Amino acid sequence: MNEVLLIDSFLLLLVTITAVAVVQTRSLYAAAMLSGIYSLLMALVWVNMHSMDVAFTEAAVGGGISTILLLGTLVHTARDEKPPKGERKRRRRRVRWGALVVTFATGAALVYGTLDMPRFGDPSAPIHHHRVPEMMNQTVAFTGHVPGKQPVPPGWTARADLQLPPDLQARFTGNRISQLPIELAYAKKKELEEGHAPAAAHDEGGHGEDAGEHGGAHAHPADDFNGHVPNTVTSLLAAYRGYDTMFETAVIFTAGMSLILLLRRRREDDQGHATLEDQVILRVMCKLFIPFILIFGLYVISHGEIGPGGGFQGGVILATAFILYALIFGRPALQKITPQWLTDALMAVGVLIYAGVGVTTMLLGGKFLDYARLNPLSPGDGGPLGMTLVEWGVGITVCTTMITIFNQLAERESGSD
Amino acid sequence: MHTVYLLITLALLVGLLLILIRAVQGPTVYDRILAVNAMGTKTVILVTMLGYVSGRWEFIDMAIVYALISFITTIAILKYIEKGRLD
Repeated sequence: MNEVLLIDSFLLLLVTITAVAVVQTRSLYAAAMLSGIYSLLMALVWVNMHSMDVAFTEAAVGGGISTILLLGTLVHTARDEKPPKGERKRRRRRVRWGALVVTFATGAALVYGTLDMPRFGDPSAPIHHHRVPEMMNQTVAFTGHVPGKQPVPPGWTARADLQLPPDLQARFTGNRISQLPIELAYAKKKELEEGHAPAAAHDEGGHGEDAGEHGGAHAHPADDFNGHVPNTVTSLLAAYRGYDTMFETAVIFTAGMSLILLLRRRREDDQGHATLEDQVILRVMCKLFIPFILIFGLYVISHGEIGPGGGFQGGVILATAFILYALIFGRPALQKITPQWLTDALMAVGVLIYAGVGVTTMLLGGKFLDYARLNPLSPGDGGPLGMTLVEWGVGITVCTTMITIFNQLAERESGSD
Repeated sequence: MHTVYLLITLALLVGLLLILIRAVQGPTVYDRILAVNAMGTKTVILVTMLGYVSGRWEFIDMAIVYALISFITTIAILKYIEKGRLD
């Protein structure tokens, strides 16, 4: 039996137990804690499958902030779930056969659907033959001064029938780029300065048309990542699905706005607050930990294009540091360092940075979010630059929105106890 | 995967199962809190293990995230239980 499969099965067993326990328990904060454990276990499943970005998100969001936000919800509701009407007296729970049949039928249909999918890690799966080879041929960025994103997997050969623009084809020798992009860029610059090539050709070539004809130094296929960074997931999220990610950021911004509209009181009357300042160990630990959490969050945001993580994960990690501060020293202390007007404004600023990068590329003559335009002489460098900017936008929005959501949820409504 | 590493991983997983039983049963809320905490520690070790076996440095980042974040949840739960509020 495959080891990965063995570990996966065991983890899935644990996940199932946790999920059933979450549904079964009547105590709501026990359910909140168990959902935290559920996230930890799911993150382990992702880790075991080597999908690090997903595991990162699950760890930062599920393991950290969502449990805290669930507890914040409990502040507004009650600690225990009310029993359903009519079942207060009866000991035995009634089985609802209709619901049971529908659930099992749906489950069976889903399992039947997965039978057609390729097996996990199957080398003959369509994705390894249809898209991945093309994508791997497009990478330009560096790992340890070596052009080409990552070592070519053993036994992998480029497909002969792969259609690449002729000049791009010439740059590949053994799946590597024959010339460093930076050298190409300097060559092009020199060429332009000396006037050998008409300046107009630089503006017209490359990105202007989708006809498949790519001239100039910044040639890349029409259907590509539109920017090349070592972390393929970031490439996909920030470039290939750039619009999607932008509107995801807008959704988070909207969530923060809605919570402000629903829960923020007009007048900040002092309701008192609870601190844990008298706990010496907690206070000292908190002061020691917060700088590390902040630095790690910044690292995750700014290294999103190289390693796992990115704006979403880094933003959540940053927000966790602020929430820890609020937990220990009370929310008024947090309000002092991040006033309401600041978090409110930064929520919008992050989305604006993202959209602003898109508009900038349009002003530079490209399409919306065409990162290569940011550095016309070397589009391979424009990609990472654009993606880093975009990740910062996402990070700022996510961080401030999480702080706002925590502020609104932790705040007690006047009149409630 | 080397057999030794597989055995270590399985041992850790069995440990996870035992902790999970405590978290699900947990007569008092403090059993559950300790279970959540121990779960975080086990997860850090397991992630580092898997990273060492597969030789990928990104796994260390994951372990750091857990180490930094999982205890904040515990503090939030404790504060909620003791004070009944989070602000």
